[in-house]
Amino acid sequence: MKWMMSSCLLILLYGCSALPEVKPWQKGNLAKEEMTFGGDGFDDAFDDHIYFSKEASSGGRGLGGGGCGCN
Amino acid sequence: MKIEKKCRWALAGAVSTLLGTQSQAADTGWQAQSGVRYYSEDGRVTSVEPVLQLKNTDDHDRTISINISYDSLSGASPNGAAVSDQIQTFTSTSGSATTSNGNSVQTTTASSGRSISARDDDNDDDDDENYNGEENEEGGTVSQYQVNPGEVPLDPSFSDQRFAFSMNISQPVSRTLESSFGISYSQETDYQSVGMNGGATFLLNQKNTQLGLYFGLEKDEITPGGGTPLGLSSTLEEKTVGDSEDKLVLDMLISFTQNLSPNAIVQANYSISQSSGYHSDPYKIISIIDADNLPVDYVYENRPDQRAKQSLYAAFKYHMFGDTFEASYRYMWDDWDVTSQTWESKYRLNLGRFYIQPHYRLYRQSATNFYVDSLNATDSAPDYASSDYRLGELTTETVGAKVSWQFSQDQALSFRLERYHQTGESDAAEMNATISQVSYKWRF
Repeated sequence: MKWMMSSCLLILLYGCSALPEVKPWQKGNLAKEEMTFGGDGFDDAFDDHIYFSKEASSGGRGLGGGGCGCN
Repeated sequence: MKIEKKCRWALAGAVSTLLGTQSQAADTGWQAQSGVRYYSEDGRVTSVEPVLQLKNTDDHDRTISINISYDSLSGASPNGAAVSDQIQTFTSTSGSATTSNGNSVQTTTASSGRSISARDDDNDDDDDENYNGEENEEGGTVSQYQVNPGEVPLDPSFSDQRFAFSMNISQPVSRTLESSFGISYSQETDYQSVGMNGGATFLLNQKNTQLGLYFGLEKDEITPGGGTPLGLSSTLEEKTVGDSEDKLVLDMLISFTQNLSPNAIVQANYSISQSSGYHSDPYKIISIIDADNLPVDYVYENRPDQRAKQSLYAAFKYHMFGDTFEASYRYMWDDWDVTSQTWESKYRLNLGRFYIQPHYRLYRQSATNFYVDSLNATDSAPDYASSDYRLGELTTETVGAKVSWQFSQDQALSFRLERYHQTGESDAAEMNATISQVSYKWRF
């Protein structure tokens, strides 16, 4: 188990150095609200509430939660 | 420097969303968004929800966001009973109901609970020409309704209000670590939920990579009108097991977000949710049918008291031609044998101060292992059973669009309109709804 965890950590650390690197001055588009995950939080909250109460699945992009007796 | 700061806001936005709150890239100061959400099912439930969100970011990059909403819904809701070839009569709350199958008449109780009102706008498809409302001896309102042969049994008196409040605080701990903490509270007529969440986000690889770990804890309490019915007991017997029931939900989310290029970003999440306690819907009943397929009794549904859900989620955003395309996919599975897949896509077409954003979503789920349409009178009772159509095979589709107008630097007005269609193995699953929302965002 320890061996597995160590391997995962090593892969993760190595993986980070191999991952794409966008320079700070290239992040103009990435900084836009529409390019952020969660930039549309107001709409997402409405969707999550509807789909939580009408379907058997919830969560995924955030914590499942629910907090309502609708399902 | 300016770009770096903006990027930090972008990351902060992502973190807050993972924790189930709302956040948007912004400068320091206050930002507010208010609006009205409107959800209306054709012939069934309608919900109107005013919402206010406030967010403040101080000079130390500490962000606090507060969400307040009030949800009011009413209309007709499937009671779980199966479609029959004969007229079915149900009575809500503490009253009794009759089931006439031509040869005999049996009195049953079909408690629909919630706030019962003896009012029906006849704007639904429940064919309730014989709908009656009257005061019973205890002073409560009894609403009796009939369902015609071939019609989906809907309780026309469904009504509820919900107040919800949540607050989330996130702040940088160091250049590469951000922490967040949140609380939530909601109150309905018969349901109360209290929750808290917290987590950490690590920024790696020149802040092109984010690793997040978040936890959530939620405690719910349900207090059904008339008490909690005993699962799978006949509605005739009015057996209750107490006044209220609890549910505890533990959530964990691991998130990985990566900038792929100056115009592309991807996110992959794994989440697990373990809940224990009362999972049944105390207002849902199941038809007991005889050899001739006629209902002879109704029993309350009974769901397992444990559920473990897991999901894998991937999302991608790409900036092209000055517009933004996004797509996501979710695979979810649980120990009730539900597996589901969700595909979602949006394209934001930027037109100066305006943007138009078409949206499409497709969802498919398999049934839980205890889903039934009805139970046979001659069979032995199962441990668990529910005829709630939301636990059966289900396919849903959402199509719509959002239009937004940024009419000044600090103000924007948005309107969203969508249609939602459900279809599934249950007759009750056939449903269409309108989703719309008007919202106004400003900074001050």
